[in-house]
Amino acid sequence: MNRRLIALPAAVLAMSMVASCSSSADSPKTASKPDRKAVVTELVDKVIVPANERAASTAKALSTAVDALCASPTAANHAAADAALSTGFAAWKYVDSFDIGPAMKRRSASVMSYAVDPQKVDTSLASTPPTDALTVRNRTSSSLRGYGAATYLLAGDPAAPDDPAAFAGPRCAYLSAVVDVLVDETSIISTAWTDGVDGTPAYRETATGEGAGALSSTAVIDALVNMQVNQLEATAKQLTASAEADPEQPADLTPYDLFQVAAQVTGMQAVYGPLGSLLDAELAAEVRAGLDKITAVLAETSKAPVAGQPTPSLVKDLESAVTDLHLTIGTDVVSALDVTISFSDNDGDS
Amino acid sequence: MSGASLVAFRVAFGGCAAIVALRFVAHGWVERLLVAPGYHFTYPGLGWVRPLPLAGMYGVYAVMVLAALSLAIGWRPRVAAAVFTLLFVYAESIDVATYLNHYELVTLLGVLCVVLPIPGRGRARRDGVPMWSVWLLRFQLGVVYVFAGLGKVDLDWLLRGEPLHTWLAGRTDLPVIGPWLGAGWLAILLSWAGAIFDLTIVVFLLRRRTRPFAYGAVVAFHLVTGWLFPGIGAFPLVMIALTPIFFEPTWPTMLWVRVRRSAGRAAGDGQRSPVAPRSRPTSRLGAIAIAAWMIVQVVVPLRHLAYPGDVRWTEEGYRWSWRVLLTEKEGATRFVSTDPTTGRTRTVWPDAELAPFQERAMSTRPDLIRQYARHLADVAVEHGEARPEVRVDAWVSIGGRPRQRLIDPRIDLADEPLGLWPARDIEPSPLSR
Repeated sequence: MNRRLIALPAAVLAMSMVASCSSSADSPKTASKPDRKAVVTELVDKVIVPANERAASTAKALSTAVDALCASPTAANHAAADAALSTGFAAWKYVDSFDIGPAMKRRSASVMSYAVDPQKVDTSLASTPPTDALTVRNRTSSSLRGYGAATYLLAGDPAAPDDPAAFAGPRCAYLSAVVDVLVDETSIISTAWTDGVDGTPAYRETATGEGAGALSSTAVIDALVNMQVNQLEATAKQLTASAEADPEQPADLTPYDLFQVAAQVTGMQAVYGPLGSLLDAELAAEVRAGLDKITAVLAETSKAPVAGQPTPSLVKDLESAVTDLHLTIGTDVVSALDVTISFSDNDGDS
Repeated sequence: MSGASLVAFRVAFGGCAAIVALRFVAHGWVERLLVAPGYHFTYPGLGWVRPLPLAGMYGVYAVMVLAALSLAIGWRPRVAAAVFTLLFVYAESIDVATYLNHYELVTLLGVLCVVLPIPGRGRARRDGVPMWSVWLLRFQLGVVYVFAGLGKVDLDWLLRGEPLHTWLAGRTDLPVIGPWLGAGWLAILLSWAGAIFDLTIVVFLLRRRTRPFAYGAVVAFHLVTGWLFPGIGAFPLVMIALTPIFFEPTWPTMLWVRVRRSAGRAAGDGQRSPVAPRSRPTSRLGAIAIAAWMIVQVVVPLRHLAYPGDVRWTEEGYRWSWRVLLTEKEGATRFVSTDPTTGRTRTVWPDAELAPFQERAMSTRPDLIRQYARHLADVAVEHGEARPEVRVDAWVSIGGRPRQRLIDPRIDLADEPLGLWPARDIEPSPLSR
């Protein structure tokens, strides 16, 4: 009996070693996988924290540029503010592709990047627009603030878009207040990652599994991949709706949207530096190729939010590229990383 | 034969059943899984089953819990088991997307609790029970282990260590053992161990000499799987609590005697109890019913063999086949609806109507995809439109393989029959590659 008891585990071990050797030749999947905690730590330290610091510093640069424009509304200052806004907005959308943690908890998107309502902005300008950060943060609707509103305000008077004089009055005060909130919010988020705010520990510690209330690396990866799937699906839906729209009634898709997609995709590219090491080389290459394809399609519209409708061929190419990447991440990556989609908490044993 | 082990089984099953029902309430699943979704996937022939309003569903679960507890304490056990099982089957029939293997096991054991002569409160010593009633429960649990083991006799499981390799790699942040869990050799080792465990545990449980060790292995195995894969919910608890049915029918009495002795008290009635009371012989009709039940338990899980293709891919005959935690599948699905009169197409994203758990379940199950396609066509007709053709762009990654089309995108699914016949729209399985 004792011999049998010893023989059984020994046989299991022997068979598994044989299986391991025989399968390792034809299946890279049986190779050992990198430590997830190390991957998440690298992701946080080399991508997420620096990106949030960049979002904060570019927002400050925008604030400086807007102050200069308001003080001296010249064409040169307007161009500088425009460039600073594109840089800041892109830095924020880059962060938005992995807005786990403080940005998610604070629902920062409602302050930072809600879709602008130009008519409401015009109405507000015509009456009494908000001119201080507190009012913008606490008493102004999301469609009247954030980078969207800043972009619209900085485009100038629709009646005379090239006239820098438009920035001498309430438009500039409103713009400054909006930008002050952008500076404040990005600064809070960045500090929350590195030092913690309001008595909470630094989110860097939480995300890398250190200290009380720390997250598991699997939870962080789940959150990141879910976010990517959701963002790509939302973009795919928008593009599909646009591609299928009645030519007489084109869907509401502008280069402003495409600019945001381009920045988000750049953020995803950064994430797949570390995260790609958890995938088979072939799958990691497929993800990178998918991201590169979107970047190539958006090469022209990714530099700055510009006016006008994107061409149908661009929409079609982008829809195809985004749908492909959504499929790759939504099926192959989710499967390879054993990600729980939709944060489902119901049981599953089949 | 002593009915003590059946009494212990009754108590354990009633307790587990109450916990299973209570978890639905505690997690908010009654509302989120059963009441909130605007559309439900239904079983063939059960399309008429609908959820009650939220208060009604909570009432159903309250009665379910009370019935399960009544069964556990032995008050009108047969009626209690019948009430629990009927309500449980009703709740589980509302939406196919909520299907789980262990819910199926709870249902079958609930039925057995109705028909088997399980003693009620205080009747274990007085009434003998026929030996076959204990053996039928052992058979029912044994079927789960053996079919779970047979499902693991597979190249993916034994040679690639999948899906364990993928799943374990997701737990590398666990303390102490975490760093080991990403290793390919460990996944293969555990895959073999799991297959051998499932295939042999019943034999070891049936042999008197190995039984205690085997039960220890059962406890360890289910505790570890429950710890590594918390998503499997109450399944480990159910198996740990019910497997003692493999012990001698007098085990609860003997245990009680030992407990009293170790407490320094007289053994009392327990010393007399192992004497087996007499029980009535089984009628011919009863014997036929038992045989029929056993045949069904063996044939139904094997019905997938009657379908072409790999059951893990086609899912035809997958439910009630005890393929527990065997497959890692992820899918993405979108439908394309075409108006036959104008030729105009429209993409339909299922998350506009389906809850996330429904969309996830549907995306890897062809029968649910077909069902939803027909629903989309029916809705269009209800809105006064021409019945559209509905095609699907469905992709699935299985066992870590690159995604592949699950359904032929040329076939109008709104026109495909629903039912138990083999489907003609499923693309070839990638599993042989």
